[in-house]
Amino acid sequence: MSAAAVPKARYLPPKEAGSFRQVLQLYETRQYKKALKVADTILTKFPDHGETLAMKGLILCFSEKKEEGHELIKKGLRNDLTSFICWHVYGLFYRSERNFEEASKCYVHALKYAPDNTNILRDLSLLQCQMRNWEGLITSRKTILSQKPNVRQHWTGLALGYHMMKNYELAENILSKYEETLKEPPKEDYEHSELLLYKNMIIYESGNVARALEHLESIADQVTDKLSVMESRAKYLLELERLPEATVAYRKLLNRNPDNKEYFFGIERALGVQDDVEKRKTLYRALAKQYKHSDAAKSIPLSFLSGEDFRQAVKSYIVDFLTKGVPSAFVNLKPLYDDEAKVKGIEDVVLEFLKTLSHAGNGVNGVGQNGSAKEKDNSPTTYLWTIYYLAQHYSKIGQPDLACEYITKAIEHTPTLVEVHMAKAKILKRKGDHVAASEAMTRARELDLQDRFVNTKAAKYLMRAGKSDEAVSVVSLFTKNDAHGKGVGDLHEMQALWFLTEQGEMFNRLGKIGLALKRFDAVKKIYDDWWGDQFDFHQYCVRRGTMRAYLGLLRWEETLYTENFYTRAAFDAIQTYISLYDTPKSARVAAELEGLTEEERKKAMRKAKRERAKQNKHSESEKIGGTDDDPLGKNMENTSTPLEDAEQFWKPVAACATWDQSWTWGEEIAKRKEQEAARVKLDTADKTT
Amino acid sequence: MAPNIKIALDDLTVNNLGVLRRINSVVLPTSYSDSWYKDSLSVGELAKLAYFNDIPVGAIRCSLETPPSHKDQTRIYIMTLAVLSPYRGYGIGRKLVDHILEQAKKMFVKEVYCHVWVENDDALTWYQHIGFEKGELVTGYYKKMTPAGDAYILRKAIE
Repeated sequence: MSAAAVPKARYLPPKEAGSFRQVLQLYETRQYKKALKVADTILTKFPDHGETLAMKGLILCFSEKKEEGHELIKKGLRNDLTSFICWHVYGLFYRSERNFEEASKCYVHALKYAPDNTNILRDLSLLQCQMRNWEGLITSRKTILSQKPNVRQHWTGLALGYHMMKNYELAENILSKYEETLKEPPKEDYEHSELLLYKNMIIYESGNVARALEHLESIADQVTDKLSVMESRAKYLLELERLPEATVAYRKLLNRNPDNKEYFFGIERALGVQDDVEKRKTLYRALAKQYKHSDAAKSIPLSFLSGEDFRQAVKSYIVDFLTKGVPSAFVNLKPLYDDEAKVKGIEDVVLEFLKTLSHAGNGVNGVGQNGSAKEKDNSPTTYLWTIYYLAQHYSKIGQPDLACEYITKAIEHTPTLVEVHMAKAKILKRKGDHVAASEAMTRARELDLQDRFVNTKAAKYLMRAGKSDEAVSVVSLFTKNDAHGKGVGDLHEMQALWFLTEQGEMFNRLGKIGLALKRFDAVKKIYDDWWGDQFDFHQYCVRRGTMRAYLGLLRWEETLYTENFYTRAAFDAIQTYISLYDTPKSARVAAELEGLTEEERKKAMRKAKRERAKQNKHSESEKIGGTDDDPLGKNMENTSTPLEDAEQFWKPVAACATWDQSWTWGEEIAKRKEQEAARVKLDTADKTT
Repeated sequence: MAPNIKIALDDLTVNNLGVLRRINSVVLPTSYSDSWYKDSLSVGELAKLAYFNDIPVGAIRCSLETPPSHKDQTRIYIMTLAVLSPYRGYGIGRKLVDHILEQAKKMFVKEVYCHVWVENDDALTWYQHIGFEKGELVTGYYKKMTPAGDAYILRKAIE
């Protein structure tokens, strides 16, 4: 830009102009203190210089003087509305606030006054990825590419835009053109190999599997991720129904890893046996022989066998586990429990096996203290794991009394085994006896204080039992504890979703609504962070060429807010807000007092007062967690806009493609909002008439 | 011997102290104080847990007795030895005691001894079976029993 075109307000004499360039340089190298000094020297002479004001503001924002900085940025922009620097700075400010929408508006403004500025274009393109504005991305990436066609990431960046717009042909073309610019393709280069695989992914997603296979074969030698080539090849061959070749491909995969169930399913389909139980049986018998250590080869048949075949298969599977003492035996078989016949089969097999043990090793009617080990043909642990299995089995099928009987026997047998106490706790929890359950879990914890898993469970069970302070003390044995000596703050920092959710739900049950809402909000903030965290990858992944992993990230983020932990906390929060709306405090009190005699009324008031006092009493451990000025969430509880607050939790769920249409919270909120609107309309109508 | 049996000893630590507590409380008639358990952490190799297929099932806890006069010998006293009943007969108690005898040798201690209730025939036989000698009778040793129980001293000299 020539000096003549510079507007008067922006013009700086050569000396100050040099200082301004220095400010920019110091900012880039993060020497904020020096940069501020230089900026101030310019401002003493030209106190209204917009770009300097904006830069000073930006630096203040990064030096933890956000409010002052924000004001200066705005002032700077007002003083020089046509400066791309001022707009860029404003965009950077919004970006640091993770307000991506406003940030991208600012960049668009900035580009009006500097259409070819690569830095701004690059920053804008990152925001467009974040906002999933693929059309916009294509435009900005095109400009960048035309400026610097020799950089790989600018080609992939543009291909990404077309790919996301489902314009597979153009996406592929862009990558091919890039390959043409290379004199010789780099050998054994991971980034180049990833690029080739990304191209292959695009071809496959375009639906032309035959060409994808062809392309895959053509790049196979250059690709470093051999497994991925093998997996894609097998998948493509199967989809193309080139079955003999697919069989070979899956065999090769199984030889590499005989525990990947997908490979087993692949080979079933390649052989065309997936709908024929007899043939499947024969196949798995052969596979189990070939891959002796593969669990999948033995466990998959359990899902399709029935009758006597099932019994035989499950018997050898289970007995092997029980004699080896595999604590997870039940967890492995749990998926079969949807099928009643199978449950019966398993029960018979385990009970029969137990009978063969009852003469030895159970320590009850077995050998006494001086009995010789020679008489025992079964280890006592086999008996132990068997009754442990039965306890879990009966608990699962809704027979808590039998479950208790077996687990009590197991605890008498070996009271030092952590697992049996944990199982007892779970059985009691299912029965609804949360206090006894947490006592059992505590007994498990006492046996191994360094086991974080048991510690976590013990804390969770304490919260279920409403023992707020104890739970915090227990969980704090494994956290970085602050001045109060408790780890609640650290658990926020570590994004311990389970803890925040459980504690929130416990507070809800205890009537501590503010704290409950506070925790649900903390869960939402973590998810918002995860949404924001992808920002860094828009640049990083494209630059490093790890496009397949990046695509995985983008697609995962699309389903983020339908993850169990989010929906659980969000629905808890929405429910709480809705009940705050449905029965405001005053209405609750009035409803309770209606139709009572004077005497009863007084009594009820006293009781309510006691309850309130209880709910308002907060222990030390509840007062911590979070650095804000409302640690107890009182502001949230006393909100004047409960429906809008609830909506904040609902919106991100509804924005996910994966949300379950049976979730009715959106309607519940909308219904009440309509009623509210109708009422307001009526009110205003009343007033005007 | 049944197949797949693995017996191993391991140290007593602050994290598994609850195991010693649990084993003693279900096997032994006497109960021990919190401070006794806390002190168990300071006797080093003289307290051990025994594992059967990775499950803790037995424990020994001794103390080193330094006599007031240097004329008397230093001895190791077995305060508690317990194995959960289903796991008896596998040589676990033997392994625990052998470990203590070995320590005694290393420490140049000449004697390991313990008290056994006169009516506990199984224990009396067992200690003698593994080479302990029955010594004098201590009348009224178990004060908390009603009537107070007598005990034999069982000792093993270390060469």
